[in-house]
Amino acid sequence: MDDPQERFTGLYDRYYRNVLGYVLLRVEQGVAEDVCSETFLVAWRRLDELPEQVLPWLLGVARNKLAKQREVRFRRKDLVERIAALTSEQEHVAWDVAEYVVDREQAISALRALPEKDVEAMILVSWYGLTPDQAATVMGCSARAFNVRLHRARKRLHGRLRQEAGAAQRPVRQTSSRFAEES
Amino acid sequence: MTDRMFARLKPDELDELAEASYRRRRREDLARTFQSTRYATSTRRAFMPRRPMFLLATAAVAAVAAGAVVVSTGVLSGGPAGNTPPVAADSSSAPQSTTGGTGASPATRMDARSFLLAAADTALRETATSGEYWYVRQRTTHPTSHLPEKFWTEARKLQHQEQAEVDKTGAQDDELVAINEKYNKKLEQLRKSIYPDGPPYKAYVVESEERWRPKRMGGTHRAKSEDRKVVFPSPQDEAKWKEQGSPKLLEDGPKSVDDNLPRPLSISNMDITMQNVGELPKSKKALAGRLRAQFAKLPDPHKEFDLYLWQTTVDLMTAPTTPGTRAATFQILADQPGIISNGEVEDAAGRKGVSLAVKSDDGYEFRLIVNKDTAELLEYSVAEKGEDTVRVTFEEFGWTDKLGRRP
Repeated sequence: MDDPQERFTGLYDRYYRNVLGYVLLRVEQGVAEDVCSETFLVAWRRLDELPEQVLPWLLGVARNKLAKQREVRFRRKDLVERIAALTSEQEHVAWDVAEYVVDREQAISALRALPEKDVEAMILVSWYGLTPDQAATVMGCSARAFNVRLHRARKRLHGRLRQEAGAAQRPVRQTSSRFAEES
Repeated sequence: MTDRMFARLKPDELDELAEASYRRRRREDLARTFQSTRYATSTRRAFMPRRPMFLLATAAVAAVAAGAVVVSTGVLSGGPAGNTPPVAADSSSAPQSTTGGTGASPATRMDARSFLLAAADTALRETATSGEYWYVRQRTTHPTSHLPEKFWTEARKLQHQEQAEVDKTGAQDDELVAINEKYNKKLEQLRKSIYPDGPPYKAYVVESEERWRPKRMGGTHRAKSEDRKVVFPSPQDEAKWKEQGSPKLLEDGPKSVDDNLPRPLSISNMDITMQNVGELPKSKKALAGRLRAQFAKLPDPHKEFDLYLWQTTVDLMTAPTTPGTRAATFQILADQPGIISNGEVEDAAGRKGVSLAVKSDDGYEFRLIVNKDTAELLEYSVAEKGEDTVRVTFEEFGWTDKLGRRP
């Protein structure tokens, strides 16, 4: 019943795409796949000591592996540039941010102004659904430090978005976009 | 609000790329991973430098490494004491244990070959059947043990050291394997130092499992664990266990698990699935070619064809293969010089069958018991240095149309 290979296969099937997605934010696909395979190899070798929450642990291992590869070390901009590069034309839609409307380009431009770790903090919470505690494990800092970072990130992003929206001098309006904010 | 905007910034392409990689890499990743040593440290699993790859009994086989366990009268046989010959006793007294792996005596060699060829004919006479779910009920016996906290404290230390070394060295496969082997040796020494004269008592876990494998891709797979218990070979063993504070010997596991994850039918043959297992070659030549090609692809540097074939046989014989494929498998086995017969024996359920065995280079003996009349696989077992490490008895298999229903 509790067959290690089945258990591992279950983890792989469940989390591979998440881990790869996260790694893809740093490196191109070929390298990302290798990093991802190595990450799961570590999981296999540690199968009996995996924490209950496996995804944060996997992301942490993947993050360490990335950090160790000198050639894939990235500058702050890279993370946001990867997001920009991975974004297709169809996704360039507009959102309302408070009373402003920003489009994707403006949003990405706002991200560029943020420290990379701030962006990463938001990615872990917002895209991967991690709790601050879990995300802190991934980033190798205390939960308190993470919460401070996350709070600051949100504040900065909000401020930057206002600026971006203001700079584009978009009129205040009720958006008709299908992505309209409800609030 | 900012969060919701941010959530939408996640590029769709990220998911698409991840999905594509997942589909492309899964099989290879899993195969490669399962070839590498697992560093097991749960309380009832320990370290095995090299483990056979079974889909159904890996947990059991891994558990075995917890300690050298001598099979005592009747326990593994499941019948009344002394009624059926315990497997380990077989291997220590039977003539084949002195003849060695490939150097089987001509008589036992001949027996194995002629039996296998006859089994191939028998298998061909069966009719192919079909259904929605492939059902297997099996009973597994494997040794269990408990190691004191002192061991786990030390083991965790070693593990951290290993991780540090791995991190320092990088992620090359060769290096990983070398480091892993080094630490497995250290762990083995640690284990020996805890119980220099062997574990203070012997105990086995006996459990039944029922499994429904869906024929349809994405269908529900169910594995149901039943009747798990710890068995002591003698009252003395049980008394000793109580003396040690009656440590927990049985892991809590879910009783029944449903999911729809895709599963390979054979770890050594990741490409064989419930969807294509019925289409495997029906001729000896074609099947042998396919298996040889698959074997060549396995990355394990210590791989042995005999062993691969044995594992594959177990997987194919317990899967919904066609009579033709089963016959071809027996014919391929018949050609293997390393396979010997121990004559007629009884399985744990008391059924009569012919015992076949193959030995690996590192001291394992793998056994099958095959029903003479139906050519069905009744049981397989693995022994290390003459001591039984796992025994799996197939009580029933066949097609059924409903999840949870027996054939």
